[in-house]
Amino acid sequence: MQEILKKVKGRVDSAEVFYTKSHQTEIGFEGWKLKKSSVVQKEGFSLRVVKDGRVGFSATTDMNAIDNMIENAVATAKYGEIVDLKFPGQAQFADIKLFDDKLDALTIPEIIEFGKIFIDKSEVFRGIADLNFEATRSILEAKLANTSGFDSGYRKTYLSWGGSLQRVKENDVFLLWDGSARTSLPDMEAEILKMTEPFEEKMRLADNIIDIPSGGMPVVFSPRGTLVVLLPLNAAINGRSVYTGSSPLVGKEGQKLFDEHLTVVDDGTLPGGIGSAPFDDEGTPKRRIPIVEKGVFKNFLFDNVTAAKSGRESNGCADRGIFSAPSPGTSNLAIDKGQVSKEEIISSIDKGILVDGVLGMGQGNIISGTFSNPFGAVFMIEKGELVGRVKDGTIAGNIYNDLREIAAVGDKQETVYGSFHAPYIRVDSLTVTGK
Amino acid sequence: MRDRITEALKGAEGYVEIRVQDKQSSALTYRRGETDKVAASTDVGGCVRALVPGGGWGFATFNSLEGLKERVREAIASSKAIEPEEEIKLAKVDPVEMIIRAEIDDDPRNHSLEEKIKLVEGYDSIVRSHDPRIIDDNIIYMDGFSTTHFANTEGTYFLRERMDVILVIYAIGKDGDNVQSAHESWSSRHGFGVVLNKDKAVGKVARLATDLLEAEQVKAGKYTVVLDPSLAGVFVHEAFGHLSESDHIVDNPQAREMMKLGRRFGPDELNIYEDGTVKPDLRGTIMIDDEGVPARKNYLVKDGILVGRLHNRETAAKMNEPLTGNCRAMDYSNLPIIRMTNTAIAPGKVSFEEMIADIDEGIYCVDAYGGQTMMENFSFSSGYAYMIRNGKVEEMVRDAVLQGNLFHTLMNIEAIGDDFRWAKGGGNCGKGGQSAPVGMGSPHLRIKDVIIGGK
Repeated sequence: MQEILKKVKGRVDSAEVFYTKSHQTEIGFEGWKLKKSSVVQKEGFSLRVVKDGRVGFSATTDMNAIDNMIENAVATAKYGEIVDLKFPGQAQFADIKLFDDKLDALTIPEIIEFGKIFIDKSEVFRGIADLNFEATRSILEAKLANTSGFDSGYRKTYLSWGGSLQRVKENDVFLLWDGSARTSLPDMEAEILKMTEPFEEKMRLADNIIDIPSGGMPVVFSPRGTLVVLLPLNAAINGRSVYTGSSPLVGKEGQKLFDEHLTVVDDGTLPGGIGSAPFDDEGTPKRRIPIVEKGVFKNFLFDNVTAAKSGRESNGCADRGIFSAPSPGTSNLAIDKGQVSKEEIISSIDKGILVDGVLGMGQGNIISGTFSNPFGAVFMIEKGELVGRVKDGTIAGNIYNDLREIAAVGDKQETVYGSFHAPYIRVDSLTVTGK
Repeated sequence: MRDRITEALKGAEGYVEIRVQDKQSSALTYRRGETDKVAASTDVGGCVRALVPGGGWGFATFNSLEGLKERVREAIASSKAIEPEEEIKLAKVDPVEMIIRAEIDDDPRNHSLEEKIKLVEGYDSIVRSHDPRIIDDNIIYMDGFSTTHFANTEGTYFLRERMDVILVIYAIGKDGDNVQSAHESWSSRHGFGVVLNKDKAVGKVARLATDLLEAEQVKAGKYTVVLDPSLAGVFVHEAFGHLSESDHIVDNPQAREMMKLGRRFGPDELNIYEDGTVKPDLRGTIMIDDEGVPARKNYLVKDGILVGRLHNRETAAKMNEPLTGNCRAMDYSNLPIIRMTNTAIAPGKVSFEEMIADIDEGIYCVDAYGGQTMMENFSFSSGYAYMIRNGKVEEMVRDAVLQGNLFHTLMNIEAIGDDFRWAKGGGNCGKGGQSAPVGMGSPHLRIKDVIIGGK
């Protein structure tokens, strides 16, 4: 790291080197059977330089071509972005546990065992549905050094897993998927039960296909279903839009835009969160950032470039891969839990739907707040009970209109895809279109 | 490189393949009158995939070619660590040797960074000068050149070059709280020329963004829709392409029954094919796949009847069907999986005018944001749309996202246009965490009873 900085120092005004190395051990079951095992290793450097007020960038996975990377970074700086980019110096960081010796020591047979637990708990579906399962243990090393004196790194472990059941009954296909991720080894039997127990109820409901009438009706989003509304919000909070104006949220910090029951936080220091780290990908300390607090919009996400251009400070949201310069991104995005149980929420509805999965999420003009999604896994609620599945329909709305009133927020937060956390939420009327 | 790979394979146990890739890429983005990002990068690495008799698939990747023999040992050890309940068999392939050179007419590497910056600067100024309501834009230029070497223990070797040049234009308009975006992209496997002389088309992207600001959100309902060739290409990819990937059905007897060859899925006029050999090269033209099986043209649907599907060596053997050359990996750090290449609906006989003439109220859906499938149900999102009234294309509407069902939507195709075209943009498909460049083609299509969500 320091060697690269030394080589480039005299030729540019300031520089930053980023290094990542990942080691992933993955196993896969297909068609109820163990099929594959992989060891995927990848390492690379990226170099960002500032020369005459312009930024240059280059990256490489070829350890014999570091000099070439330096040349490329210097060459691109001639035409690069004009920004008053200041790399942060060394700071004190929160002590977050990211490395778990137990996960580090996990062997391939032990990872295979998780798949066997999933199969064991899914036996009732054998002969009825096709089963797939994957689990990956990742060991990640990140290092960052810059000419402002920052030189630090961390190692992180995480285990991610996902299992699916695909049931075909004549002309009906029903797909169930669930999975999660943790930075330390959890009780996997309990984690897998959290997946398979709901599968049984959903599979039972799937047998009763109900036609849905079109119109406005109460909609309950499951923790996973909340992504329908979280993704448009996520698209609108990028700090870049503060100086471009390209978000409906610009100029609205401090304004109440949503129901007071809605609180959304991005917490880069969340214990066990897979997006947690002591500092972001530019060396700024990660922190807990309120996005929406009791319905009031609070903060955009900034890295150093978007902050400099907006006249703000970075709030530790720089996110990058080997081949990309940083841009603002979330770490662990969460909707705060409320006071009502899932059972109470469902039993309070006379006629409505439970949205657990949709299609085409994030595809469309989501920055406007609009969503329009065909049903994936959607269930009918009648007289306070889940009675069956609805298919061939869509839900649509706009978060800035439809989240002004939220009827209820569930009292338990669940982890979704590892980096999102949400409870059940109930919205009183969304447009549903049926057959 | 060939010698190093074949040397490492010598004496290996069972089936082993090595794939090594070297990729040079450059990217620049220009926004709001200034450079946003400029980058030039190198990605070098490789992988070993192994299958010992009685074992499972073992896979190991690397960034350094030092110790290649050791990586082969690792992959074999991984393969042995797995004892599948059922032996994995591979369909037989005759060993082939192929050298596939990129066919370049105007090499982007011969054009200076300065020239590329001037180009995107020009497009940026066209977008921004269109209307003061255009508050943001993104002009993206990318080029990439990759070389893949592949060899396996059966004697197959290929070298495959690939060159891509891509231009993407985004225009973002804002009026009060209303924010709308429009986009367009062009790509070529042959040369720099594809990104030149786009002034008029770039201006159209800006106009679309401001038109969308004035458009109403589509009214929810069930409509007769006409899809333009771009969206129809996404439609065939989502509606049928993914379900043709055998890995989704190979282990599920009920799914295999549902997708039995000979079953009718559409009207007599419907013909769907897949072709990884289309020339001049499209996004999905590969010539040979990542397990050394030559690509070819494969019919999926002929005269409305299911006649074929996409395979890797394992599924072809298990289902006793011909090899199709559809096993692809995103890069050296991924296992190859069954993917589409270039997927198309063959042209029919109906002109666009005839297609819309007798529609009292319908929607003309143009361009695509993308699509997603859960096998039976799928979504496809238009970039923008127009109402059709009394046989005429009328006012623009926005946010038209279409819902599809495998068994109804294809049967509901009422007309297939005579105006086939391959998508010109830089299409990618996501599956199992891997992104793959794909081609999509279709003429205009008319489909009845499509559910569209909205206000």
